[in-house]
Amino acid sequence: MLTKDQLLGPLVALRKDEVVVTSMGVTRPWGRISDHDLDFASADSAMGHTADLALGIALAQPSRKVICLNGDGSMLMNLGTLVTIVESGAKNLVLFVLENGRYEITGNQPVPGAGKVDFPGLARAAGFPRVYSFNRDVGYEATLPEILTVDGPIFVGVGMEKGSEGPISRSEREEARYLKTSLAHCAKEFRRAITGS
Amino acid sequence: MDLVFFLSRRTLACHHADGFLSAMVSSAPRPEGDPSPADSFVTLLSELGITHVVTVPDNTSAPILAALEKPSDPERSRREERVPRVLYATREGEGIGLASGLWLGGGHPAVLIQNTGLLEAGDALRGTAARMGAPILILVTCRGYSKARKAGIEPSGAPMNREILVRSDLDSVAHMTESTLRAWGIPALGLGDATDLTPVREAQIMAKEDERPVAVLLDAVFG
Repeated sequence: MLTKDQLLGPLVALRKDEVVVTSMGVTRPWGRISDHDLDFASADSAMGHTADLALGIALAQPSRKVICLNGDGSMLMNLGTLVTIVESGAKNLVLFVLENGRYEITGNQPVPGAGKVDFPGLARAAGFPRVYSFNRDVGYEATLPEILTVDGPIFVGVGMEKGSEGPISRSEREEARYLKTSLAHCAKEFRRAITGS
Repeated sequence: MDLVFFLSRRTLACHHADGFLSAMVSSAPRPEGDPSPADSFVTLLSELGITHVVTVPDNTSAPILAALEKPSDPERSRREERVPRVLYATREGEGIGLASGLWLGGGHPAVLIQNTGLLEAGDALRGTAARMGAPILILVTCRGYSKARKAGIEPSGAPMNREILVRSDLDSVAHMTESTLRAWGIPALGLGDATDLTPVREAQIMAKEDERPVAVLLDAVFG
């Protein structure tokens, strides 16, 4: 199992102008180490829509890599999106599914099928041309440059240690810049940054 | 503009006068060479700058989707024609999230779904597009409206009671579509005549000016 630091540290070190969309339990940890105009938090209450949101950004910006850091609970709410991603032909989308087997921010209740569902297998069955799987940090850091370079859509399943993030708000109390203001404000700023207008 | 629900007077007038007027207008023979209502609809979407149409199809939207995916004029590329790209979603809520992402990325998407799927998409619409203030055109086909009128009931006027929910000659979704949109704070315009697409244009303007998703109820036949 990887810790969030082991997952996110190498990613933030390699990240240049890629979009990064975060979900639920990884939203704060990413926001603590990254302060980029192309970070977007999909951590509001419409759970399950991080992957489809990231796909939309990828299709609107086909020349820019879009990295989606989704949770296993969120992914389970919209498994059909695995198929939609492949069907769309979005070569620039990298979909991480962080498998901690828990609804972390609501108190670490187990997600259905925790420890039994083969997410990389689901991605292969949906037709993802490239599927990676990491259950230890061995090989992850060395493979990451390839993951961020090759054509996709790419699926990356990562076995994660149990975390302890609590409910996420959008307020000045949050440390991460992309959680300090409303979703509408963040969305407008993100769109401005990505379109340059 | 504040939370207001719009249903065009033109549409209401058509319905009160003759419940099947919109279908009659749409199915009247048109002069040879004239574009079909579906072709005109696609032309308007292009003119409005719509880049993507995210959809889960139904019978009413089928002619529009066929027009969107019609082979291109060989003399002009699809890019030159600026025909929106069609993206099929596995469910309507996914489609709303996808469209919200398209808008975030700089696109100008529309969503084309049935009113049954609108109900499915409730939390996605509330939690993504509406909370982002994304000016997304939500084109909603109106399952059950014809049945309601055959039974002498105006869809938006029926009391939501057990009889409406269980009657086999009605489709209950027709009687909760407009009230649901109103409850969600999504403005909606009615389109009751496939040859008059003014409500689509008006909805797009409203969405951009008010920075919010706006629905158009497609209560007409496009084939």
